[in-house]
Formats: sequence, structure tokens, C-alpha cells
Amino acid sequence: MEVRGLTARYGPVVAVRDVDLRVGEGEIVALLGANGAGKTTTLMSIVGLHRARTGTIELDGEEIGHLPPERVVRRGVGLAPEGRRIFARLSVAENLRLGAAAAGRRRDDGARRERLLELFPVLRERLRLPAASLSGGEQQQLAIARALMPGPRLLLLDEPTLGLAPKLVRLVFDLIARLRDEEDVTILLVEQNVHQALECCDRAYLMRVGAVEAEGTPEELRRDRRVQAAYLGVPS
Amino acid sequence: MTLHEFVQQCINGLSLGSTYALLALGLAMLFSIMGLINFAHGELLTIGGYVMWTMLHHDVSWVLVVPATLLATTLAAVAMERIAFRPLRGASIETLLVTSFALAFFIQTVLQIGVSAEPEPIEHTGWSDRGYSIGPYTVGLIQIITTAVTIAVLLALVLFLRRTLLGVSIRAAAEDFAVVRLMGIPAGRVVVAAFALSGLLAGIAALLFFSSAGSVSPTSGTAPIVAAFIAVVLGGLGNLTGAVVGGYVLGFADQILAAVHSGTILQFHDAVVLAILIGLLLLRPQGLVGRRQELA
Repeated sequence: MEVRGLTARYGPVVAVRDVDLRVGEGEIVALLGANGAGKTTTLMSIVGLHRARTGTIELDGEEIGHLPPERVVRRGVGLAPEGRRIFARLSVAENLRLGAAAAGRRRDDGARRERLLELFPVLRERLRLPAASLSGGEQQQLAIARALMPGPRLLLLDEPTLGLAPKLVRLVFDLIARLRDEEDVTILLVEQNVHQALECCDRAYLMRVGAVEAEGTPEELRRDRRVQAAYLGVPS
Repeated sequence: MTLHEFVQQCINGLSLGSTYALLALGLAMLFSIMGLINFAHGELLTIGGYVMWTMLHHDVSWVLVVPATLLATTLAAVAMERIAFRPLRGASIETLLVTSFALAFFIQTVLQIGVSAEPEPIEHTGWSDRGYSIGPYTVGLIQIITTAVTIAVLLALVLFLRRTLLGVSIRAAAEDFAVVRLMGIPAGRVVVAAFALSGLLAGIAALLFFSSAGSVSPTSGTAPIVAAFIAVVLGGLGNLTGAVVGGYVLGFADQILAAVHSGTILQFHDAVVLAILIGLLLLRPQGLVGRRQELA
């Protein structure tokens, strides 16, 4: 996926300015930055939920920027949104069923669900329960599993570790690595947890007040003075 | 009022309660999904009434009147969405409300000019006056039919909302519309389905309502829709179970108060019903069925 010259506004306020992003097949790319840096707006623009924007968004060389969210998702882009946004009053099974809707009428939904329940065993025990009854970590797993149900090629994860206990943060990062290695999913990960994100990603972009400030491999970024000063607690 | 009379009046209120419940259900569904309080919902009832009047007037058999009425109200509801509400998607709750009022007046005016402002008679079917004695109580055939139909419709609706993908999508849309789109489900389809369903429910309500009401006029839908709206508020705004419970409570209350009130106080019947509603909402602002946190 390739994003070029993305600029997004909320009324007169420019939230994202001229952002270029590239996510190659099979990569884990992290989009880092503080609150309000424009990370979530970038993801929302990619899936078509934020319409007030200019620039091009290409998936496999095809422009998808003009498509409504339901069609972007059908092209193979999955989003586990910020704050999880699972359907709390629906059961876990119903959440997964809706997730599969993007794949259209396929026969292998059952097999797909089985595979995901192996990856997220905690969900299997709770299939009939309302999603509201899950703990925060379980809800996050449900949100990721739901986004994976249609078998997307590109998975967008928006702050998947926000508000989770350290042990669960590690679990989520392990899952992300497994998804790439075992499921061949390409991942664009939005994170504030810079240390751990840099450990699991192949490349990263650093956003600051709506623009990309730095990009590179984890090693390059760790050496970058701006990153050290702002995120890694190293005095500049 | 003795217990016997009380129960008898509740039985008599079953028809009215069923009509309110079916209308309230349609209102609550649209409100929960798109924040629309559709006051033109009453005009769906009226349109159903006019279809019944036209067909029965020409001696068309009930076997055809029933599907034609349901089809007409369903299509009318879908047309409402298409013409009036689709261009306003995402608009504020006030804009939608005012639009629905405009739509209601528009349809009433068209019927006044196109048909007549006077009520048109809908002939009583022979069976609607029949009654049976069950122990000390008298139960009209119309009450048995309306209640049975309403229960069947509610069961079918529950099955639809729980078992089908479209039904689950409608429930999900009531929680988070944007994320439903992220599931690859077209927003338009969910909204049209909800409108069609509310139209179908209004059609069933029309069949039950007008087969005992005796006549239809351009404003026939106004009083029932105000009652249904009260039922929705009473049950907890946007709560489907609450809408049904609210509909029946209001139907019973209406009937019982009409039986108790005599002479001059009868003029204040509506005021008394509304005063009781205000009292109930002061005690339970979240509605009869709603939970407190759903207020947020």
C-alpha cells in the first residue's frame, strides 16, 4: 500500500499534512507519535471513514482513496480501530460473524473462524457471551480477530495496547509478530508504545503535529537524535 | 374498579396495545440506528388504511388486501428513506425531526387534496365483532387475532435480528454505525432494511388498527403515532423490548382510564394519560426497561 501527499482536515484545522507512507507486502510498519500527531486520522483516511482529505491512496497500484469504507474493506484492508469499538451488546460469535461479512458469500468462514480461535483461544470460551462482558485484553483480541475474519491482506491496528496491563501488551505484540509470520498479513501498526513497537516492526514512521518527521528501520530510528530526545528518554 | 373489571379492560386494551407496540417498535428501531424520530411513521399507518379502504371498497378479498397493504407500507417507508432522509444522512437529530414533520404534513395534505379530508368508511368484517366467553371474561375475536399476530411478528422479528446477517447488522448499527461499515457492510443497505422493516410493522399495525377502527382519514395516523412515541419514551428511547412493553402499558392504561373516567373528566383523558407518563419518567428517567447507563 502506498499513500502519497495525504492531507486531512477537520473543518479549518489541518490534522495531517502531506504525508507519504509505504507498506510493503509482508512488512510490519509502525506509525509512531504522540497524541494528536495525526496517526488515527491517517488510518481513518486510508479506510475511507475520514472524507475531508486530499492525496492518493493506492493498494496494489489501484487507487482506493475515493471508495467508501465498506468497499475499501472488501478490497482486503482490515482495521481494528482505536478504543476497540467492538459491538458490546452483541455476542462474541456475532461480532466475528459481522467481521466475516466483508468476505462476501464464502464457504470457508467456519474454517477461518476455527483458525482464529486457535490464535485467540480465550475467545472460544466466550463465544456466546455478550462482548461487553470481556476484559480489556479480551476485547482487544476480539477487535483484532474481527478485523482478521475476512482474511485481509493489510491489517491496520490503531493503538492495540492502549490501556492494557504490561503482560497483555506483550501478548498483543507477540500476536502481531505471529500474524505476520504465520498468517502472511501485512500490518500497519499505530502505537505510542515506541520501545516495543520498534522491537517488532520492520520499518517505522514517526509523526509529529500532522507530518512525518522521520522514517526508517528500527536501528536507524533508535540512532536518530530527534527520536531519542522525544521518545527514548535519551538527552539530546 | 374491581379486579374483574380491571382484567376485562386489560383484555380490551390488547388490540390498542398491540397497535402501539408495533408502531413503537418501528420508531425505536429507526431511532436506535440513525437518531431519527420519524413522525411520518404515522402516515405509513394512514397509507395502509387507504389501501385497505380502496381495495375493500371494490370488494377485493382479504387474501389480497393483506399482502397489498403490507407491500404498500413497506414501499412507502423505503420511498421516505430514499426521497426525504437519504440526502440528510449524518444530519442532526433536530434536522431529521423537522424533516419527518414536514413529510407527515406533506402526505396528509396530498391525501386531503387527492382523496378527501372526510373520513372514509372501512367496512367492519363480520368476524371483527365476534366475541368469546372465557370464564368470567369476554374476549373479542379481534383481540385474539391482534395479540396472536403481534406475538408472531415479535418472534419473527427476534429471529430475524438474531439469526440473519442483515438482522445482526441492524443491531450492530444501533451501537456503532461507522464500524458496521468497517465490516464491509454497505451503510445504505442497513438503513433501507430498517426502514423497510418499520414499514412492514406499520402495515401490520394498519391491518389490525383499521379492521376495528371503522374509518380512515388523512389524520388517522396522528393520534396513534403520538401514542407510539410516548410508548417508545416510556420503554426507554431506542430500546426495542422497551418499546413493546411501553406500547402495551399505554394500551392498557388508555383503556382502563377510559373505563374509569366518566362525565366531565373524560374530556381530560389524554391529559391524565400524559400526566401519568410524566410521573413515571420522573421515577424512572431511563424508561421502564432501559438501564441507567444507556442514557449516556
